[in-house]
Amino acid sequence: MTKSSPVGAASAGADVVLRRPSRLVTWLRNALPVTVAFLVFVGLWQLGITIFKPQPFIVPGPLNVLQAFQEQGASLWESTLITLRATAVAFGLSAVLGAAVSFLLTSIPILYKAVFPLTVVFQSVPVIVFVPLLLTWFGIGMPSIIAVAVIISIFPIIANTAIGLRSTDASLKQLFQLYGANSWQSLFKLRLPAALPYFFAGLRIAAGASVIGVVVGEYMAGMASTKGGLGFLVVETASRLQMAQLAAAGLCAAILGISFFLLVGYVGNLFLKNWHESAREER
Amino acid sequence: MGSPFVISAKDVYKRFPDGTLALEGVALAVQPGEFVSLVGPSGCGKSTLLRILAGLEDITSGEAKVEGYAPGSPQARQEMAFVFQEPTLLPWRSVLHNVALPLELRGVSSAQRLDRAREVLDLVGLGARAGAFPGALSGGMKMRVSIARALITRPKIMLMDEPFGALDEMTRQRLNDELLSLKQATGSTVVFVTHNMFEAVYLSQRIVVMTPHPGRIAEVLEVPVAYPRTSEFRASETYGKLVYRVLNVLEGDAAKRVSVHSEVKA
Repeated sequence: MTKSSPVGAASAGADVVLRRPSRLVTWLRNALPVTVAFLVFVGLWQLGITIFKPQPFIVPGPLNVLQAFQEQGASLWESTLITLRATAVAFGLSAVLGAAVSFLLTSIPILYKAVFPLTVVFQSVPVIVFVPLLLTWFGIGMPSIIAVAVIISIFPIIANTAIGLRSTDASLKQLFQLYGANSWQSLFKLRLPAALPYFFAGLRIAAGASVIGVVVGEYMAGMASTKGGLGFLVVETASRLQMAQLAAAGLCAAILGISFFLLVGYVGNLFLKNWHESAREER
Repeated sequence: MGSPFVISAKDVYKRFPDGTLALEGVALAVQPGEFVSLVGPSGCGKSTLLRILAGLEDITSGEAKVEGYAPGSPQARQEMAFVFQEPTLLPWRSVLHNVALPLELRGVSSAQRLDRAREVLDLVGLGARAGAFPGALSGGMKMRVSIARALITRPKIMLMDEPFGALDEMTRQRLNDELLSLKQATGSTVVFVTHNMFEAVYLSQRIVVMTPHPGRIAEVLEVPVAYPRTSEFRASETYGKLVYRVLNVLEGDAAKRVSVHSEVKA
């Protein structure tokens, strides 16, 4: 998983000659630097607040944010759940639609040549351009929010899966040809499994992107709903200059995004652990 | 079948779309159970000829037959196995299921094909690694799995395209010995492509020496030494003379090229 960063692998391997370090030790070695850096950052932030004493609505301090968590805990939790639900739906839709579109595109060469460049163009259009359109189609609320998130998260899935479906090893294709494999066998026993690591790479990017998409969607399209997700909370707290609460909502979104990313990565590794480089544990 | 040959090629020409003439008037006839090597430098058309016999390449003109059938026809493929330069294993499958793949594609039942896969894995000495995944195996082991997969259909003909080219010398020699004993046990006909003349002499009964630009057969050499062959054969005079002869043919051709080249320059 994330612990197999090249830097971590090098430092873990260099000074241990005879004995492989235990999992805990390896994990600590990889997690310690980032934890220390985070604590130093928060400490400096609080130190700056204590020295310069700015107004909390200009720069909130870590303690203000902590206080916001304590006081607004219930509503933060509720908003996080709403955002989580929308994210799950958007991510699921992106995964299914993305896989289907990339399969269709790569199955028909002329379609791939014609349409794939257009998806890149489509992806380059800022998502806010679509929001007025989506609002007229779906109205204010959940469907528009999900649509925004799908638009943001579907392209990494399409692009990655399409590459995977197109890069089946030539010798393996010939092997299947030599043993007279029919097109179903070639698809299910060769092309689809070979594309799986690419599909999961796309899903991993889409996991983070779909959280961002939902928050952006809520920010722009969810204003009228009485109960809102984290994006809605951002709008609300910002308009009241409650910067500590704003930071707390942002932190919730970040934690949600990271957890989702890790979860998708973990599920991917379960599928790929025996065979793909990306899922190998560092040694 | 009227012909006593399992493989026959007559007057084969192969021109690639870019205009290169890969094969010019090549003829080859292989008897049942024979071990024939195609040896030569890169660009001599040895792999192209092998791929034509497997039906992986078309012929521009000429004729080739495998067991009396056109290469690539279902009847020809039924009797044949191809071993690629790389192990070409499916990384998401265990060794056992990789080896069973050819039977799986031909619709053999799961129990039957896995039994047979265990059998051929024992044959290549990898019975204990049946559950391992390719990523956990060494290069030599992967190649053994690839050979086991080729053997599982009991092919009459094995076409091998530089299968040991990427292995270290010790592993290569050990696999050469294993290949010869497998060939003795199964009685298969083997057509073996290599750029290594030592390997060609050690393994084959007949060596087809090929030269490039365009790909032609320069000479065909018999190896008059019976199987089983051991490392003593490598130290024998016959072995040395044959290697020397192959080298002579290839160097002679290369020298001719250089002199033509310098004349053109002058």
